[in-house]
Amino acid sequence: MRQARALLAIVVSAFFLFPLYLVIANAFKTEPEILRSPAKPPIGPTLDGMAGVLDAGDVSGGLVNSLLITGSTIALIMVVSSMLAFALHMSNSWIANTVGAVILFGLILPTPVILIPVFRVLKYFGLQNSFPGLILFLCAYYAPFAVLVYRGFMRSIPRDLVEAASMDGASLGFIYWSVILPLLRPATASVLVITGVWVWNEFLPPLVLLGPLQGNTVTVGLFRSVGQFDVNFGQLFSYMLFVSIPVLVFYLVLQRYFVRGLTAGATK
Amino acid sequence: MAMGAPTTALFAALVVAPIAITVTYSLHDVNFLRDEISWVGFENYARLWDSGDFRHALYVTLLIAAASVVVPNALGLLFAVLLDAGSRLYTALRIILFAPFVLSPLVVGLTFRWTLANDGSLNNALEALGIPGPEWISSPNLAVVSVGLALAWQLIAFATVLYVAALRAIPTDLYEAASIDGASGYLRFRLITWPLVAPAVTITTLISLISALKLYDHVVALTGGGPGRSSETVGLAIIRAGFTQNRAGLASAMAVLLLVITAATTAISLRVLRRREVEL
Repeated sequence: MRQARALLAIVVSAFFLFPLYLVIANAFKTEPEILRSPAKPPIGPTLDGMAGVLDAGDVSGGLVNSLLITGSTIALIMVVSSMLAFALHMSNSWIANTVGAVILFGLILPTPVILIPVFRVLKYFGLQNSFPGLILFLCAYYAPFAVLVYRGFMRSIPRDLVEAASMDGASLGFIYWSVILPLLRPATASVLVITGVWVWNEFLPPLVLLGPLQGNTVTVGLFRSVGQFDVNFGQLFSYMLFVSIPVLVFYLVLQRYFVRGLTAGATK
Repeated sequence: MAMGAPTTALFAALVVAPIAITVTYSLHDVNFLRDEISWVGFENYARLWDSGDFRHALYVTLLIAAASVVVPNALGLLFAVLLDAGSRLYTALRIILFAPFVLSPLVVGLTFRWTLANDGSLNNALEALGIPGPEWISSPNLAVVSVGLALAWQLIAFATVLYVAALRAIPTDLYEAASIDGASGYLRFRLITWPLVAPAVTITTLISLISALKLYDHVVALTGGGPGRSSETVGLAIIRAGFTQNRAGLASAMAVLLLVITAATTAISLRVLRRREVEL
C-alpha cells in the first residue's frame, strides 16, 4: 500500500515534469535524434544546440537584459512596496485607507488592458522604448502583490514597537530602515522570489514597451527566434533551456519562501 | 503617509491613469499614426457587439476561465492528498511538482505545441496504444482545448502545492478525535479537510481566474490564435486591434469589457469563497 502510493506519487510528478524534461533532453541532442525519438534521453549528449544558439547571437544579450531588468525591478519593488506597506500600517487616515483599497485593484488587472495607454504615458515622460520605462511599469504593476505580502507580514509587528522607538526621538525613516526592514526579511525573500519569477517570464510588456529597436529580453528573443529562422529544434530547445535555467535555479534556492508568500495574502 | 508617496505616485501614473485613458479611448476613434482622436460615443462597443470574431474570443476566454477554476481545484486537491506525507521522497516530489508554475508560459506553450503536434509525442503514444491521435492544434475546437491544457498544466502544479501546504497545517489530532467519535473517511473529509482548506480554494480560484482571463502568452506560443481565429482570446484580440490594426479605440473598448468581467467575477468569487472560510 505504502509502495503503491509512492509509485503513484512518482508517476504523477513525472507527468508534470515531462515538458521540462523534453526541453532539457532535447537541448543536448542532435537534430535527427530529436526528430526520430523526441522523448528519448540524450545518450552521448551534444553541445551543438547550445553552442549554435549562442553563436546565432541574441540569447546572451537577452539574458543580460533580462537579468538587468529583473534585478532592478525586484530591488525597486522591495523598497517602494515595503515603504508603502509601512506607511499604510502606521496610518489610519482616509488617504491611507483609500490608497490601500485602490492598490488592491491592481492585483486583478490584466496587462493587455492597459499596455496601449502605458506606452503613451511613458512617451509623455520620454521613457518609451527604454529599460527604465519598462522597469518602472513592471514595478508599478507588481507593487500591489508585494504590498499585500508585506502588509500581511506586518500584522505580526506590534505598533507599540514603532511608537516606543519614535518616543525615543527616532524619525520614521530611521525606524523603517533600522527596525522594520530587518524584521521583514522573510517577507522580502518571498517578494523577491515570486515577483522575480513573474518579471523574468513577462513577455507582452517588454514586447510592447521596449519596441523593436532596443535589445530585448530573453522571452521576446525566444518568441522572435521561433518565427524568424528555419526552425532548428536543437537550437530552439537550447533557447528554451536558457530562458528556464535562471528561474528554476532562483526558485529552487528560495522555494520555501515561494509558497509561504503566495499563502501570506490569504491568511487573515 | 509621506513614505508611501513615491509608490502611490508610480501606481497612479502607470496603472490608475492608464485605466482612465483606456476608458476614454474606448469612447473615441483613435488614430496614433495621424495623431487624431474624435468622439464616437458608444460606437466601439456597438461594433464589438456586432463582431462575431470578438464574441467568439469572449466565449473562448470565458470557457477556459470556467475550466481553469474547476480543473486545477479538483485535481490539485486530489494530487495534494496523494502527496501529503512526511518523508523526504514526498518533500522532493512537491518541490519538483511546483516547477511548471515558475516556467515561462512561452516555454510551456512551445513544448505543448511540439508535444501535441500531429506527429508529436502524445499522438505517437496514443498510436502505440492503437488509438488514432486527433489534430490537437489544427482542428478549431481542439485548439481551444490544447490552450486550456497548457494553462491548466501550470495551474494544477500551483494548486497542488498550495493544497499540500493547507493540508499539512491541519492538526492530526482533529482527525484522531473524529475517528474516535466514529466519523467515516468521507465525513472526516467533509467536516474537517474541506472547511480547513478553504483559504487554498480561495487563492487557487482567484489566481486561476485571473490567469485565464488575461491569457495571452500560452496562446501565442501554442496556436497563435489559430486555426483562423478559433482559439483567439480577448487578450489576443486587444493586442491585434490595438497594435497590428492601429485601432486603439476598438481595442480599448475590448479592454474595458475585459476589465469589467475580471473585476465582477473575482469580486463575486471572493465574496462566495471568503464566506466559507473558517478560523481554526
